[in-house]
Amino acid sequence: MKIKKKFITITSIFLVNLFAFNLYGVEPDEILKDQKQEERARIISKNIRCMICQNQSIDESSAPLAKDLRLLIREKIKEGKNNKEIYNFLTERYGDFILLKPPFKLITFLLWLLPFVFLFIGIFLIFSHNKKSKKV
Amino acid sequence: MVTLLGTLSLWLTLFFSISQFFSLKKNQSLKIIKICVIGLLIFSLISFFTLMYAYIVSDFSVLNVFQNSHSTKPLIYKISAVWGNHEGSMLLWILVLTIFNFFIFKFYNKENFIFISKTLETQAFITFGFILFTILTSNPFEETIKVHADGLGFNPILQDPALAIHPPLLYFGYVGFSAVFSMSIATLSLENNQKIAWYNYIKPFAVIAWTFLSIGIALGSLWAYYELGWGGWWFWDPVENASFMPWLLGTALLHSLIIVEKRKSLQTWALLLGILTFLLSMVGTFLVRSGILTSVHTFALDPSRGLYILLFIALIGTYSLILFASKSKRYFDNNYFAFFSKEGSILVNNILMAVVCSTVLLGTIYPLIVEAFTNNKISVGEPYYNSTVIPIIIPAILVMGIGPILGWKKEKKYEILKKILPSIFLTIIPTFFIFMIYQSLSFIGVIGILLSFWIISNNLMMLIQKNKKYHKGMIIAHLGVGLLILGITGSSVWQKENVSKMKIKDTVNIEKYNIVFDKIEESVGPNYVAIKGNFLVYDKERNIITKLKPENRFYHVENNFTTEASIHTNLLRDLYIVLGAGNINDGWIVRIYYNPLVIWIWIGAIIIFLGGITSANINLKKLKTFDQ
Repeated sequence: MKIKKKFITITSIFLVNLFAFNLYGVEPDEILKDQKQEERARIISKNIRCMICQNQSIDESSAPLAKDLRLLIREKIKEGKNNKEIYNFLTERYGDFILLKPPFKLITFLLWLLPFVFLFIGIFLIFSHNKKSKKV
Repeated sequence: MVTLLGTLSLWLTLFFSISQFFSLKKNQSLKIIKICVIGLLIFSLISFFTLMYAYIVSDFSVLNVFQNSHSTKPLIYKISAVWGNHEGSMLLWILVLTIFNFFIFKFYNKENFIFISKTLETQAFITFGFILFTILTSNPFEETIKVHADGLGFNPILQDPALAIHPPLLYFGYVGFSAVFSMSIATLSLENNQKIAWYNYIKPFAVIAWTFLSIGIALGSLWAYYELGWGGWWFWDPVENASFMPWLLGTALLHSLIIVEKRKSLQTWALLLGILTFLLSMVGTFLVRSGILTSVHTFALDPSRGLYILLFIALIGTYSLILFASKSKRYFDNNYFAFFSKEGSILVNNILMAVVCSTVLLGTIYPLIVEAFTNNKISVGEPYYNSTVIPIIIPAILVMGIGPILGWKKEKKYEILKKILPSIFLTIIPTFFIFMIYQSLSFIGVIGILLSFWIISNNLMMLIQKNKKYHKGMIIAHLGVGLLILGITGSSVWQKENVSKMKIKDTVNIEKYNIVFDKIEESVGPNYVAIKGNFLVYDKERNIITKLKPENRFYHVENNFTTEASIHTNLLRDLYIVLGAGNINDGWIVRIYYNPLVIWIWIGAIIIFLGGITSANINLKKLKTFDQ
């Protein structure tokens, strides 16, 4: 029993060393030398969804696909592409699903409009209440 | 034996909930109702503790224990595993329902017996619905077919002290709103000649539920902060939204009840909030449990469960909203009030909370709707919420600072100015100092810090004045919110991050700290093994500040890795280190965060909790004296 326990411990420690994958996104070898370019890459990555994760940006994800995209974004930045071109490139390839901030389109029309509608209804209610209070 | 006792008591709770419902419907004597209420409580306690016992003694003949536990697991996680899975958490849900059922019953007296009877009737129906759900689709007392030597283990990221107590606190919040719901339904079904001061009954329950929901959410955030390792504490995850929505409506409800009590105005609105808050709590459960939104909280993907909860919510929702539509007119009033008054500020609060809640709901379900009705798929993530929610919340916080010091009915504008002048000074001075320290001007940073000190100074002024007309619980809770905003702003605006590959003896520099990677060692825990990094933190004068020891753990039973961040906290900043992959030759990936003012988030949350408890206490006392 004791030998078995020891065996488990030793193999486990071996496994931790071997597989303790990097859980959290950006790895040191990806980082661009130019600080401004790197900052841009980080901001873009924070708005790009990791396609195979739950509600994670590629900036946070450890998935290989996320790493590929991070590298791709950095390549594009080095090529001198601007942010809009990079977002366009990504959505052409992967669809709107990849954007964590959905674009304003027919399909997302209500998503962006309704919060304003809610707010205006709210403001209207406050005003109408105020008006009635003056009458009383 | 365990399965028999558990199943039997679960069936008995079903029996008592049915008899409570019908004995109230048929106006049976108080004695019979008392037997039902107490029977329900006792047998839900028995079924809950039977399962807990099975976990503690590691009885693997129970399927639920076999699937979620292991004999080597520390005792505290054997206990918390009871609610760390779907079936067991339903037992907790039922237990909390019956506890509230019991406390509602305790208020029974000659004056209010019609109101309390109607409340208990609804409460019995809700309880019945959840017990039936548990028995039909999620019985935790199923037996295993084969005899197993040991269990399958328990998700390692849930083996954590904050997460062990997070569900019970959160459930007291979610389920506490069931009492508010039942009372709102009872109020609406009273005849005109049976009207009572219903708001005095709803208020303590709403405050208790809100308080526990707040601290439950905060604990979940705290856990996300140190366990998920991104240095963040809120991710706008659908599951977080599911708890945030009832919190927002609950906040609106608490405030609207003040107007109802003092001015007999907004009664229909408060009743609607009472109904919607609990409906949203249940919708949250449905979204999370059904597997429509997959996350840590989705314990099992089973469509029959989702369907049952959906039908149950639809039934209760339709019934309550139809009742509201047909009966609420009687509570409509013409008591309007001026904009520049305490009532006016509460109205603004209510409207803005409702707007934020609708927006969060929209963002959470919109991707589901798009996917269901078109061939497209879209994501709604953090950037959406940041750009919609924050602009609406800012005016709410501005009003929050000034609202409590305004007078009832009407306040002259220059009077207001006189009242807030000292706090304007008190706001500007510390803001100036904060920016001296952090030396970074960002628009959102300036706004956040200003708002934070605006709230803090206004409440400190109220505290100093010792004016009896200010509600103590309110001042404490509002102070907590001020500190919370300080922490939120600091950590989101001034966070610094350093990612690098470090070999032993390498040094990394972040802000004014030098961090040396001293050594790496192996360590063995009760049910895991780990490698532990050892980092020495020095300040500019080469004085040692602290040692940080982030870990990578391997849980061999579950065959799972977790990383444990190591954090050094003081009042101004957190230093936060996580260890990534690596080896002796190439070095390890090390992620270091400098997170300013994070601790104020947790201090703020605790103070909000204390404020809530104080307020609940005051309201309960008021109700007792009112009853006599």
